[in-house]
Amino acid sequence: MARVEIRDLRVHFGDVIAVDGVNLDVEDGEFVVFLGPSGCGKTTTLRCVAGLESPTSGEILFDGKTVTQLDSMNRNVAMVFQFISLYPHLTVRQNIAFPLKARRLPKAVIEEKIQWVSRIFDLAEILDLRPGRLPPGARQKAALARSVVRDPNVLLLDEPLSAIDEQFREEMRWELRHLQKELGVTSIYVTHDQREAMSLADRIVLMNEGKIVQVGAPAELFNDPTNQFSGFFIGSPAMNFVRARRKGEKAALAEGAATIALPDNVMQLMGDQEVLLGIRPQHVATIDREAEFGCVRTTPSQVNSVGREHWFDFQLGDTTIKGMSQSRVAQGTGEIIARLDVEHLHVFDLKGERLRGEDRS
Amino acid sequence: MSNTPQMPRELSDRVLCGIFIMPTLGVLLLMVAYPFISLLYYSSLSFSVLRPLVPARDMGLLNYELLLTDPDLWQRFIFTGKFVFLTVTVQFILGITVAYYLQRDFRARDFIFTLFMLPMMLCPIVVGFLWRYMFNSEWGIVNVIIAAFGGTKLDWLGVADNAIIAVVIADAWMWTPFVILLATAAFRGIPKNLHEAASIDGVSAAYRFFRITLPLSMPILLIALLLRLIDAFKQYDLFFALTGGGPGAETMTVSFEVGKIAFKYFYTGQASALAVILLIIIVGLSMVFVRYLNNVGKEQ
Repeated sequence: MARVEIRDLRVHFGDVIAVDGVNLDVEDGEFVVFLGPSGCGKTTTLRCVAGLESPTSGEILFDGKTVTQLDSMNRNVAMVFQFISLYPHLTVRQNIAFPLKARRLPKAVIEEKIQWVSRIFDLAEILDLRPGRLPPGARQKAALARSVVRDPNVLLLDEPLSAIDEQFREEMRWELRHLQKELGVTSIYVTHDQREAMSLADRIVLMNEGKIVQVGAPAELFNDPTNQFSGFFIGSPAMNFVRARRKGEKAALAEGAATIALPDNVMQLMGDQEVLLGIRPQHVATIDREAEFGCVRTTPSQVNSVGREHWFDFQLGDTTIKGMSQSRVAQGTGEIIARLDVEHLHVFDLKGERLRGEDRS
Repeated sequence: MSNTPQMPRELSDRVLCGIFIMPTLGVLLLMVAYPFISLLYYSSLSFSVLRPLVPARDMGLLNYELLLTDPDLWQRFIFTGKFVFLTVTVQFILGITVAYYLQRDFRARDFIFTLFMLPMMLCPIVVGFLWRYMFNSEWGIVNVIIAAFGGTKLDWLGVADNAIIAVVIADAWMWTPFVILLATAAFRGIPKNLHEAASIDGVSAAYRFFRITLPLSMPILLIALLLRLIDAFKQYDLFFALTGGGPGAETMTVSFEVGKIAFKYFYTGQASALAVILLIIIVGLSMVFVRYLNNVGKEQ
């Protein structure tokens, strides 16, 4: 187990900048998830830590010692890949033994270790099967077993659950989280699935275009996005964004498509410039009577009920706002009052950076 | 009654299939089945194509008996086996080694690869005569080079022990590219993931090659081996051009013998019998491989 430091990492592939100055410390035993859209540099960063990719500049340190020049053979990292990485001609048992045999460990030790991981991962029944016969979930379990069997410095996981059925994925996620804590192995996990990231991570590292956008605990990213991208990327359905500008005592939304009363602190943040207001659909509701702040009279353009959640869309100029109501919203029957919960309103400048009050750090 | 509308359609599908397959099947029957059956038939006759009017005599299995009790023929088999073993071994060691080093990405790799493929494109008889000149004991380039390094010139084609080496060199020169080609294809077919997994598992390059690359390439390499074995077994042109089966009959292979019986002595019946024996050996060999390949396929 080790502490991992990434210092000013840059990776260029020809003219393409894949990773653009990433700095990060991963604590011993921590479960960090790199999250971002495809092409954001998360996998490249992971591969640099693995030693499969050499950085253009920057350094990787394990426990304070630089490993940038070492190849993956000598870093003692373990990795689980997105697609099959089990050796298809070997049984699960031989696969797990492979890294141990390569290290010339005595037979008894190898056998003991196999017993140990097969107990943890519940592999006893498939030990003597070849990977080709296993369902994807069992395959990844075996791959996981092979990777942790030799006490790696860091466990690297590159979208390991993406090839698995939705149903089984949930279960694997839970199990993975549990095992990681039990084994206490420093883990870096790459995914583009924000729900996966939210449920697994101690800390999420949100990346976009080769840079880190925001680092924090899942709740922190959800409740306190530092810019428009994290607001947009985290949470489902995505956060609503609407342009706003002061107009007298109120704020005009979407080029004046509606005006809305906002509390002083939000008005202060806005100043005289045009800003982006961000609010999650969960914080847009319908109410019966107008409240002091955040109310818009509108007609829903679309209504969709899922169980007890009643989702509705309405238009503000060109902008579609999505909301969620606890009570049924009738479609096409005229006006409703939509209320934006101003407690959960985020203000961004037009470049997407979050504007904060001066009292906040 | 409810099924009746479907019946004609299913039938017509099958008929359609039959119609589509028919031309190919016809060609196959004409080109493979007919010659094969006539081969079997001729092998039981005392018959020569030179004298089609002389009535053929039915010999039963006598042709086979005569052949298999001829100690000279066993010498041909032993020599052929020796040649096949040597040339295929050389081709595989060289071919796999070259393919291994061609895996790495370097400049001019594709150019070098193309260069390696060239010998295979040549006509075998041309290759035979090329090497015959190169192995010429007086002015051939091989001896010139040996002499330049202070060695003694060898009589390459006049001494049986040298001649087999000469033919192995020529055959390997021509057919190692085939092994390179298939080994390269096999190596490239291994998912990159597995190599990365192996390097993360911390294994050495040699360990990785012998425990991952080679076993996973086995199906393709076995097909290459089978093809090379069969081809080497049938090698005719090189012996024809290089040694003519000599000195004496010491570099005479079985297929060379078939050619001699068929087109020098024109004992068509006996030549057919020998061809059948060759065929049985080759089919037997293929069946071993096919069975093995099927097992590999099932396991993975």
